[in-house]
Amino acid sequence: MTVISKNLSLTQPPEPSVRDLSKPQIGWITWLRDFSTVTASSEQSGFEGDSVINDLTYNIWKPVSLPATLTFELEEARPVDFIGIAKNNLFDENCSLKLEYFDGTSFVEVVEFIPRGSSMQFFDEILAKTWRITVSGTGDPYIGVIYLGLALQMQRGIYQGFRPPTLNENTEVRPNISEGGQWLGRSIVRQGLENNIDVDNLTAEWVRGEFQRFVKNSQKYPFFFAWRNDTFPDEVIYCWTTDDIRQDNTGPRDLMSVSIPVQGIVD
Amino acid sequence: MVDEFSVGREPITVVEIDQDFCSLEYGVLPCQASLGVTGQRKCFNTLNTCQDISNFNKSFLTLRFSTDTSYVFTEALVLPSVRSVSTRATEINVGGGNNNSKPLGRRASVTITLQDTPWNDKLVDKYRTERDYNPIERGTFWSKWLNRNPYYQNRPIRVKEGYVGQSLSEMRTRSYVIDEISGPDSNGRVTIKAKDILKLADDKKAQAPLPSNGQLSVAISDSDTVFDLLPAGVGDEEYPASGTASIGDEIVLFTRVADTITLTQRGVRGSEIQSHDEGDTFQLALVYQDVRVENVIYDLLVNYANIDPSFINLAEWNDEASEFLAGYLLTTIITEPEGVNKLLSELVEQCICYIFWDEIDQKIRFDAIKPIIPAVDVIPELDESNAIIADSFKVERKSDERLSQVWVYYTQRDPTESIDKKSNFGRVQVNVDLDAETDLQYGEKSVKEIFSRWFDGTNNGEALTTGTRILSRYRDNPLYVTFDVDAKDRSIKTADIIQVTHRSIVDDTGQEVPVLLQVISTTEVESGHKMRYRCQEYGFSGRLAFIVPDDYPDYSLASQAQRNFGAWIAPDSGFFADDTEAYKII
Repeated sequence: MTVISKNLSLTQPPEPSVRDLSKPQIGWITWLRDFSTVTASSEQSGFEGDSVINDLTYNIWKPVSLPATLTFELEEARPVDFIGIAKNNLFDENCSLKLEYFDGTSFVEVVEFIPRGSSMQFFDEILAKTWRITVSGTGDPYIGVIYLGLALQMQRGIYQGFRPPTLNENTEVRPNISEGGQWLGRSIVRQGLENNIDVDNLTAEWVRGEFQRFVKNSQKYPFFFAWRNDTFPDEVIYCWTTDDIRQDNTGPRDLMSVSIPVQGIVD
Repeated sequence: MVDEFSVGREPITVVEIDQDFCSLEYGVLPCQASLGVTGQRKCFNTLNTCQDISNFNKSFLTLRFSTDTSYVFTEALVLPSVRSVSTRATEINVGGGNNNSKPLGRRASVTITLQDTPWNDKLVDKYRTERDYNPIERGTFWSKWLNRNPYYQNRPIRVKEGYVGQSLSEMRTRSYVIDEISGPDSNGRVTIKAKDILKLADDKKAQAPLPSNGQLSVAISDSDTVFDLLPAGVGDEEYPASGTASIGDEIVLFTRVADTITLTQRGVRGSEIQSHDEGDTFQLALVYQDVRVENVIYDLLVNYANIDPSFINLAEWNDEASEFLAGYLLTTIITEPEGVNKLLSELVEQCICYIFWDEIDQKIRFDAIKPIIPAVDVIPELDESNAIIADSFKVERKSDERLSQVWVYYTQRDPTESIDKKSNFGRVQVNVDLDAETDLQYGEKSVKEIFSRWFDGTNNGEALTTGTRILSRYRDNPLYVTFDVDAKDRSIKTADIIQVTHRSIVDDTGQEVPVLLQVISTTEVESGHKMRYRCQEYGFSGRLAFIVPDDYPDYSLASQAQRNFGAWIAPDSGFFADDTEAYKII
């Protein structure tokens, strides 16, 4: 006997508790901005360690020598499941970054990586008060922004029609051509990244729930965005909204779409 | 190395401001400031926030702002808040011949627009970590800066134009002084206006001689020779032991001991001996006696306009004047304060020279109006193929600047009389080109009158040379050309001579002919990308050269290089045996 459900609309499956890096990740919660003090093992004048916690990409930390550390002391133990790093030259300078937390006895390594431009690294949630990053290598590195906090995972992935921001820079090209048609020279003006992040088929409950906290925050602060970190870990951007986030009901089954207009930096 | 020749260069502009900044530490001797005693919070190392002004030790702090860019500067903290930089280039007025411009030409200026932002007070507040507030949550960069630094006028500001990848020292720098700052407005826009260093010579700011404060303590008759000055002490403060002065319209020579003046000669230089009242000003005069023109200009700029002498290479000026203006030894008495700008205008007009602020080399340049000697001067050649950007070439011929006569009035009789009173001059040198006034040519007279307080009876030759050279340059409708070039050609600067070939300038058969032009203004239309040159035809009709040295052979035996450099006397026909025209003395 075939049983057909009396529900015309099928309920959505429960959200998985494991992070799925094939789905977009938004790193917007950072405990460093308002709830931490920073101690640098070394820093050049004008390029102090506390530069990395103020969202400003041109305000950088430059250590005097390597290896160099930044130690972040939070007000209290906070949950952290990602580190975001933006505006840096670690890859070009052949330098690595290691993240550790203090478990009460010693520092425990969480992850070590070489960020290629803006980068997000994810890990199982850790509750700790003291965190440390160590930059190692032989070059002359700098870091503009560091986020330590919790990342929001979008309910659905992004598929066709999306322009990966890191592959679509805004660049103005200005050639000079002589009266006689000769090519005299060319200048370029980089204008950063600009994109629209459109995600469909989101449940109304989710959009009206945890997504709204991000919406409110995005009116003030930048954030990290990784559209598909499992396959394209280098296509992370540090960006900010250029207008309000649109949230529309789309069709039956109580689903919604959101559109996030963003601008981001080029590393 | 990244520069203007790099393909795919990324232009970037950095604005630097040197603000006043005390070098002391709050409360650390010699600073006597004390929290809770002299103030409720620590200062910001600026005069306006200082709590111990007598110990304020002025140093400077350089702030840097760049155009919007993703590039991060690693040699200094640079705020990417510049939204636009608009420059108005220096434009020289060669010989004062352009009646639409002042003799000193047009001053360079720049307008910079910035976007204000919240700021954590890094760099500008030494004690930011000790404050009981978070600076990024209070005010904005510029709202706080303008409150802490109201004394920004005439402070240095530099516009550095370069490319991503260059260090700050590799960028091309233009220097100015701040004139005004407005904003931030409700959109957070701040506008800075700045002018070149010659702004300090503006008439409102600089005068020569300086106004004297000494006054007659008593009335004197037309025969009295001794009196005291008031207020007490002014003699030692303002007057030399001897000199020249004026009381009303009378010029006198004097000696001084303390506040007591002894007149050694009255009614000097044709002025009338008169009686004078108690309280009349005893004005020290400015006297030049056989001083060559570049040294007069130097004196006015440095000692009366207070321009830093490091901006002037006097040795270069002396070399230029020795070669082309050797005879311009000037003599005058200036009896009352005159604007320095006005005096400089007279000098450049009458002594066939010009001065301007070279924003790139950061020097005040002094040049004589002189012919190009092809064998001596290397001239860049630009044409439609190698340099001139498409659709940018413009040609103008200014008939209102053409001259057919130049009259130079000189040997001023009475320095206290008005400068443009013709009867006050003993001589006039009239240079005329009558051919230009005939119906066959321009059919009208155009006269330029010059009234010179600087030429005396020994300057007959200079009066003639001045009139001749100005007439030679403006005898025909002056040709002006404007065009754009790529940044690769931006090494050409204001006052440089260039040769341009373009299809708009041809001979009578229509064949393109190269024309010599002098660059009178240089504008960076798009920073690091495109330049605009405005040029004037560098015209001296005739074949020009130097008087040859004694060891040169006769013309028929001279090499081509020697003939290009030196001048020989031609036969009466006006042509040499090789059919080349005679040399011309100007």
